[in-house]
Amino acid sequence: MKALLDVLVLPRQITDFERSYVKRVNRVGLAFFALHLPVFVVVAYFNRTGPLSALVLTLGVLAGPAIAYLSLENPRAVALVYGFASMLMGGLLVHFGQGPMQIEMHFYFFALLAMLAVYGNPLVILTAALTVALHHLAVWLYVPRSVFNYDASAWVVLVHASFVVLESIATCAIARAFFDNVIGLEKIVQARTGELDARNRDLRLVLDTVDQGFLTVDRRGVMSSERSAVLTRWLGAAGEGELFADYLERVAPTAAAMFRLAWDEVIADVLPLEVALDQLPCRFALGSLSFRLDYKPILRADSLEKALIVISDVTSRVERERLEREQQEVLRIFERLTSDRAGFLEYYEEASEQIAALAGDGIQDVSLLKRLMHTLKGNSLLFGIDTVADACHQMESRLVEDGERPSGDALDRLAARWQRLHDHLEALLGKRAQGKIEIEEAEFDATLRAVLRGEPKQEIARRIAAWRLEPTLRRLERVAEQAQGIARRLNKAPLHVQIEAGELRLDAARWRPFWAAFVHVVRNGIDHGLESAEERRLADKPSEGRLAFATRIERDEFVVAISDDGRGINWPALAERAKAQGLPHETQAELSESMFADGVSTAAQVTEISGRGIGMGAARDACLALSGRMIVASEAGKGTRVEFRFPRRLMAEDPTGRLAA
Amino acid sequence: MAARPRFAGLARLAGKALLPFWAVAGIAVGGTLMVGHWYTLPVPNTQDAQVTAALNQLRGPAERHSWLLVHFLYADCRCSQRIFEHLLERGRDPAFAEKMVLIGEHSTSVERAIAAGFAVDVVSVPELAARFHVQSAPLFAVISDAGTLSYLGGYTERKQGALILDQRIASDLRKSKHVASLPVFGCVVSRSLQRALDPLGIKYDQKG
Repeated sequence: MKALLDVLVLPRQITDFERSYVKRVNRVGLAFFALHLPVFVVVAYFNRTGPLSALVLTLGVLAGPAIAYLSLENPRAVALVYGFASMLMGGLLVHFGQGPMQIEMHFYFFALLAMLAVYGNPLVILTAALTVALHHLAVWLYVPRSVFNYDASAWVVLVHASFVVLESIATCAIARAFFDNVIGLEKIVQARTGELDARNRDLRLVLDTVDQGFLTVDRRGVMSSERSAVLTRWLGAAGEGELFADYLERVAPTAAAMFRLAWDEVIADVLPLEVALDQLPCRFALGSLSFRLDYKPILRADSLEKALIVISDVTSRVERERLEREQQEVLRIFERLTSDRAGFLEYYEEASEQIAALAGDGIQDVSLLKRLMHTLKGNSLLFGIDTVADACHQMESRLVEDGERPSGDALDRLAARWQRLHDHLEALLGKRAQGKIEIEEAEFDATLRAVLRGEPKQEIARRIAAWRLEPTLRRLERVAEQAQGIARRLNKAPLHVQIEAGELRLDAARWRPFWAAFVHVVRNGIDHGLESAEERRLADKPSEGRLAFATRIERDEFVVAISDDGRGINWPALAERAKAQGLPHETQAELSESMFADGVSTAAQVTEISGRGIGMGAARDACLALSGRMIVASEAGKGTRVEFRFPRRLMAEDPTGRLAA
Repeated sequence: MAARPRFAGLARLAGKALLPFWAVAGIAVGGTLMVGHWYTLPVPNTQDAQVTAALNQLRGPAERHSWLLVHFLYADCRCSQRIFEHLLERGRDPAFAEKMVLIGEHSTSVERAIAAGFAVDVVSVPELAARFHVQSAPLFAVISDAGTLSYLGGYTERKQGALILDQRIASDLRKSKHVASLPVFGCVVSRSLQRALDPLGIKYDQKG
């Protein structure tokens, strides 16, 4: 019984599609019933059964569907009334169609029962069938003889009824199948859509849970509407159909500009796709957060249709890398302190002063500011303090390329980093380590022996005073080691460094600015002068590059010399740069002079080592500050030699003066 | 069709209230019509001597020893009209005495029947019941040459049957074959029966 009811009775819920469909059928059905009116009048006229009566009775039957259509909200209920009315209409047709065709008029009932299947509602058919049954029952109750007229047996009536029952069963089945598979299609679609939505929700949950943001862009660079929710959290909400470059521009203008340019290359399809994609920006920072960008091409028929962009929050990784770098720097500091304590401490003191000067914002002269940052960068690189060198390089780039002075944030970060280095150094040395004098055992023994031998006081004093002086050998060895490091970093030929220090010593404090600037000359020599191994082989030179340092006394002059066997100064290129800068460049003297001007460099590109045209000027300034002079000699393909010549008396302070003080 | 007009709540309520009445009325009217068609129309008792006598009185003077065929046809009955047209079409059967009893007010039918060779009697409904005890039409009666009522019934085996069997019935009876009376498919003539079967006055107001 329940199974039968399940077939006959539709689910209570009416979908929008079913409501719309049944309403439409009801509308057509009402028109269909209305058409009965003229037809029945005509039928009655030709059969002489009373057209007026046909008009009145048909209108009476038509009133039911009309009232139901206008007053019932539920379209299924309207359909039930239609089922009932259809059978009444059949009764009228048989009545008014009496004559030779009267039997045929009964087909109306069977036709209408079948037509009612269009509702897809078995109850409508059942209503129609029950109407007929009720009709017969009412007549039987009223005039029992009338049902079994013509002396027809009960079997005749049973056969008559069985056709109606059979058709009703079949039509109900068809109606239900129609409902389930056509009218109910919306429900099936909804169910399928629901499943897809559930899958999409799961997928979205996964996408929204991972620490990566996914989105796709089409060839125009327009973002897809489906993207990870985390992107909104990180970068803000994106507009519908917004370009990814515009979206990125709100938070990372530089990366956005890079994307715009590189995306044009990607679409232009000139470069190989992998190469073009490599040009796209791969990192950007937003406040304290760092993000990485990855691009995966989505191809159709070997042509780029879309690209998947994966944005990852790599803040923790960057932070970890930063900490690792800092840790490595601490290790390098330890190594430096072990191998060249004085040299490192000197760098530390000088760098501390430079950072203090930068942070103080008291340097208005841009050239001075550039040299300060350039020197700090160069020295930091030499001592392996890459974090400071990187910070200086970025500030320097902004200053040179965009004319922007270092921002407060950048200087604060630099100061904070330096403070951390300071803390590490204190932990390694203790707070009072920097004021101490360390001497080699051999020197101590030599001094002791001199005292025991009874050497003159002046000589003893000279020896002791020399403890505070720095051997130029140590300084040159330090510079040589750093030079080899630079050559390795720049993928130059292996570098052999020759040192002739001549057992000379210098007042470390006085000469510190010079040595700091001297480093620029070394870096320039390697970066611009020293060839790669392949280049040297083609030039028929030894595979190992040669660099020579020397300190010596020539008459009353203290000479510091550096020479290499590299490609020499590119004088034509220098002339061109000087010309571009509006500097005199006609004579060799003018060209040599232009070498020291800010912004003049023969380097094709700026590296973290050199190329900004600052170093040579800084070196000459440091030389002049010690009343020295600088001589540059270079021969194309043979190498370059730079000499600094100073008054000998400036090498170190007279010990008697210090004692007197 | 234009968009469904907006009905006030009250009008809708009224509409909903009307629907059950409409349904009941529909069943009633439909039932009434059906009864009118389905009801087995009554036939006078063939043993009724009064009926036999009344029928024998319809013979003409020259028809005393002839088989007599009597056709009771109701003026406003569609089925009677069909039989009437059939009779005119076939014409009077010369093998039998044949008479039409036209019930009600026939306008041109009398003249047409006479023109076709039929003898015609026109009677009113009350007179029909009083003289012949007949309540329905078309009714076919066959009186033998001996004056006995041999057949009283309908013309066709089924309602609106295409084959009208009056001549075959008469012929078989004259050959002394047994003929079962056919049911009468047609109209109630008696007013009392009309009121009983058509209390709403739908069918018999029109006398269809």
